[in-house]
Amino acid sequence: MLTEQQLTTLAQVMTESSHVSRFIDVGYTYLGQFIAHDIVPQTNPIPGQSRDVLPYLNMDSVYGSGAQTATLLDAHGLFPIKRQTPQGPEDLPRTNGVPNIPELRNDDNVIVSQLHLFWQRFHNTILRRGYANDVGQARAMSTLTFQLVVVEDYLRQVLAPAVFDSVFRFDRRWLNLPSRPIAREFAHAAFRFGHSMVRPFYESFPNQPDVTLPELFQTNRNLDPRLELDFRRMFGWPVLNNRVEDAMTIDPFITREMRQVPIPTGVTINIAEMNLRAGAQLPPGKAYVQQLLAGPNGAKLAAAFGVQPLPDLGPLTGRLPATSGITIDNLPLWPYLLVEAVHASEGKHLGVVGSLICAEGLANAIAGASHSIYCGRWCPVDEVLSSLGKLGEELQEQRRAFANAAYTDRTFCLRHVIELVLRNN
Amino acid sequence: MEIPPELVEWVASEAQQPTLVVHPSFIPPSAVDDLAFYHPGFGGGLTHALRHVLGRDDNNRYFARADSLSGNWHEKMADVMQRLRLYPTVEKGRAVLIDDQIGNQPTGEMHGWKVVHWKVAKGRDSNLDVVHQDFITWAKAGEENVVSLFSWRPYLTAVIQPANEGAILSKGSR
Repeated sequence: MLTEQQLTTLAQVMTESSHVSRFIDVGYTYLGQFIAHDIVPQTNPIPGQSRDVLPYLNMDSVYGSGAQTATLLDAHGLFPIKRQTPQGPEDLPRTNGVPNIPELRNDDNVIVSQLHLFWQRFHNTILRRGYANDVGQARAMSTLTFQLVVVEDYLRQVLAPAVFDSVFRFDRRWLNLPSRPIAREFAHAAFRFGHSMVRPFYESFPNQPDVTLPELFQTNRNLDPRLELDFRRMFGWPVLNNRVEDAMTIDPFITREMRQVPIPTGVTINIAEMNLRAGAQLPPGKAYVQQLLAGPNGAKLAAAFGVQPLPDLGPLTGRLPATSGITIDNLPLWPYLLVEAVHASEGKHLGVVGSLICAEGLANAIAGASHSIYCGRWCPVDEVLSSLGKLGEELQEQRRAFANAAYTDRTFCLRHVIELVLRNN
Repeated sequence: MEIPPELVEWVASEAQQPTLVVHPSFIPPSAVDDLAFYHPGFGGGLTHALRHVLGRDDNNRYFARADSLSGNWHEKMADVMQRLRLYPTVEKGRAVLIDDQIGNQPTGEMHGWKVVHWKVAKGRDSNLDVVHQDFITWAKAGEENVVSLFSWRPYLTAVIQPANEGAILSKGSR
């Protein structure tokens, strides 16, 4: 375990610079945050404000749970999406700026708040177009579509391909992570990789050419019209060089602006420090891998994926002061997995261990959901869509219209859903 | 395809791996805050990789073009790189590669700056080792043009020829 001084030093070094990656569109950074808010409890809960988070991908962050759902909807079962002014952008329903949503973390920044709004729009589209007869059916359809996006689009990109195929195609489990409570290595380390994908500024906002990261943090305020998003500029088609802004590489370097992120209590936090503290009770990365290799599936993991402890600090080498005492042996799990991503793919996607933790964490979250694309096996996209009736047919139509025969890995992606919603609007 | 003599020192053969961006890199002070995010050689962390291969245009003129860019190139900068047609020529007696048409390509602006000219020449790093250096001319409305540079390790052992000896190229394998 690192000392307080080592932790501060490591957080400082990790937030000195960062790089873009040409492989993942910028919106997926925040889709990851949206996913996390659905299943991972708040690191530092605020009494009276933080909801009880279940580790199942039910879209509770959007719909709430139990009787709460009805309080979020109007008499027609629709989310009451409004404009604050006639010419203003559509925004989450708010009272004095505070959004009436179950998961207040989804108002942390204007991208994740508009993602939340997007899924509300999707729900409304389902009901208005008559794809569903009632709220319950609409929620089930939204949830299954969301889960398809998570697996077939998001995880397909961020996981090591061999791990993705093993878990989501061949239904293998390697780590046997617990479903409930959510695995600590998932919540406090691996699934925090998205922080390394955050950019220092954004060029995707149609009404303002450059928006800096601090400008995104607009908690408890009506949506600034200059910060209205065009989702087509956040989530491109699954081709390289799709002219959509990119996320940063998955590596141990976090954009400098993440040193001072405002939170609703009025203070600012260093995200790297927060993550390192959150994972303080976990074994260091190298020890974690050694435990895996010594466990019941160790030999199989080594044989299937070549899992072995990382030899060195990779891109952190030479950046940490020699006197810091931080080595690959005591590097905490979160940065260890980010270094692993660089070793594996220069930060294009996670390495094997990081992928295994994220894959199993999310596989558990989906398998345990009330409505799930997992039913004793992973249902193929066509099968899920065929179960969605007219909505599924419309999404299939989007897939046909926007298919890319040259790229077959991501045959279903959020852009298909975006096109469906925007067309209906 | 055999590499023409005038390009043999600038492009990789089939067996050669991508080369790496090395020090020095430079952006003039008036543009560094705008361009550092996009520019190879800046930002620390991962090293940018690139490779030049042979291209041939409709008039059967050979040029060098970039491929095998590593994943950490900014997409807009990668787009510029992949559109470059670097023709061999001689400038003040020294062999260089130039693309003077890149400004007419539909490349994206980077904080308002657009690439309008590209030259590759031989230079030296601070250890006096020979490096290839890309001199990029940028234009932005209301600003004077600026020239930035980044350096990369040659595929072949390179020497800088005296200006009056023309562009005789060393072919020593690295």
